[in-house]
Amino acid sequence: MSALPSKPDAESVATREQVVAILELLETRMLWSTARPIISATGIHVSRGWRETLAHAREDSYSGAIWTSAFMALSTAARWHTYVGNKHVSFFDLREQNEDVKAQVLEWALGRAVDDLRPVLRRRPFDILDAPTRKVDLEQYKTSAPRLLAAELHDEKLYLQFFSTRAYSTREPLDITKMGAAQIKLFEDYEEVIGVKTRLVPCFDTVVVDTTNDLVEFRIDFQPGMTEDKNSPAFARVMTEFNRATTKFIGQGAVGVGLMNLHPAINPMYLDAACGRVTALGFVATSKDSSSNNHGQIHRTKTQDFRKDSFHVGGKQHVDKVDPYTIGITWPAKPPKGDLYLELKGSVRAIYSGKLRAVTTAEFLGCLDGADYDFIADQVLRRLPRKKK
Amino acid sequence: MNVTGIIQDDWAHEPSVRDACLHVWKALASREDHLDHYTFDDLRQFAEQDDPGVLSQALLYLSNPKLKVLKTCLMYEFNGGFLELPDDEVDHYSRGEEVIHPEFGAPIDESEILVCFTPGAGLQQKAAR
Repeated sequence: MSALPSKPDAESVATREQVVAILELLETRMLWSTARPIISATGIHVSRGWRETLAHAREDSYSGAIWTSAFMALSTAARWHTYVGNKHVSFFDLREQNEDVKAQVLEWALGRAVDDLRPVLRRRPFDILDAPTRKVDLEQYKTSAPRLLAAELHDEKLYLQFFSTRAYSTREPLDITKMGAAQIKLFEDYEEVIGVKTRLVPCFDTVVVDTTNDLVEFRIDFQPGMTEDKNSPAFARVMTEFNRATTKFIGQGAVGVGLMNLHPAINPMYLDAACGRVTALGFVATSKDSSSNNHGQIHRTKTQDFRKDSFHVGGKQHVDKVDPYTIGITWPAKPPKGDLYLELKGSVRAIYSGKLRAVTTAEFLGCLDGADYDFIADQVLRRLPRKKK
Repeated sequence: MNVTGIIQDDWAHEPSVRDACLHVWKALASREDHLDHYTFDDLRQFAEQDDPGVLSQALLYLSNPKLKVLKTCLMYEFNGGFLELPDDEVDHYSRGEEVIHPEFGAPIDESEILVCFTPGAGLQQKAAR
């Protein structure tokens, strides 16, 4: 994806309100560690965390030129982020379908899809960057099917952008001493009371039909470190919407079979010293008389490479075999770009039961543009066996 | 004056803190290799001291700029891992101020912050000698 779909108008003049609105959208979706250098590069004051930075942006005075250039930079970053940032990625291999079906899907994506979907887009509720951010505005999309916001063809790839909202929950300890007398009495036997806070977040899920490589990609938004509502899996909802669209226009669902198993890429990545730094690893180590799976826990490090880390390598020397079932790879970058991260998360069960080795989702973190995304995707895809074109 | 002498001088009138400091210093100084992190429980065992008040006082003293035997290290959780808080957030924590999560950019509850210790510059200098 070399070009960003639907670029903002370079001639327009932006206001403080527009910049604040983009910051509010970013605050709901982008990690602070990713956003901070991007905001800083615009010349807008960056404080500690989102709350203070937003408060300053609502009050500080800048020239019209600074607001305009900040809006251009932030809206470009925000739009890219909806296509490539923090994604759970799955691939469907169209070569696993029969030739007729494959040809129909590719022909539609390349030739007619954008025109066919134009009437749907005329009824879209808003443009990508005007997506609601407040709970009260997001509530109405909580139960509805994902809404198509954009359909564009670039470099022989069809990009469909769907919008939905999802609930993420966090747990926070509640201060019993600040409660009323009746509540304090109620909780008197408890040392700690935990509250569960639910937050609605605007989500963008992208379906890409890559007509050059015969692939359909699902890039599903996720929030690192947050617990998602498991009752309405976004992947299934977006796949249903995509298949509904293709059924309408070419008479059949485009995907169903051909979901690619990413597990075969794990061990080659672990063994390839040129493939980034291994910063997360789940493995089973086997020796002559015993084996260990570290209770199924994944080892994580921020800065080391497990391939070189003395703790891991030292232990490795004493076992016959290390069989990784989960791998996380970090590719370091220089600011303003952040590190890129890929995680292929398998189950320790896969090692013990050969039949369950399927890993169908890859976690992509830190991508700021199409080049970042394509780099990580290529690292996975080049290590997977596929039928020839 | 060496570290042992400084500790004995500074805590001459509080033998429990003095002994806890001396035990920790002796245990750490005699090690050839250091762990990346020492937990509160590791140091409690080194100090041979179960009173948390005395132990906190001893560890705080060993971390002060005069000795730098230990360095306080604060950890936060992100995506299944525990990572060190950057120095500027540690400074805010030390002043009793709100700490901002480096990844989320939002305040972290104090109960979510884990405290541990790393070998300080004073200990590393001793090891180098």
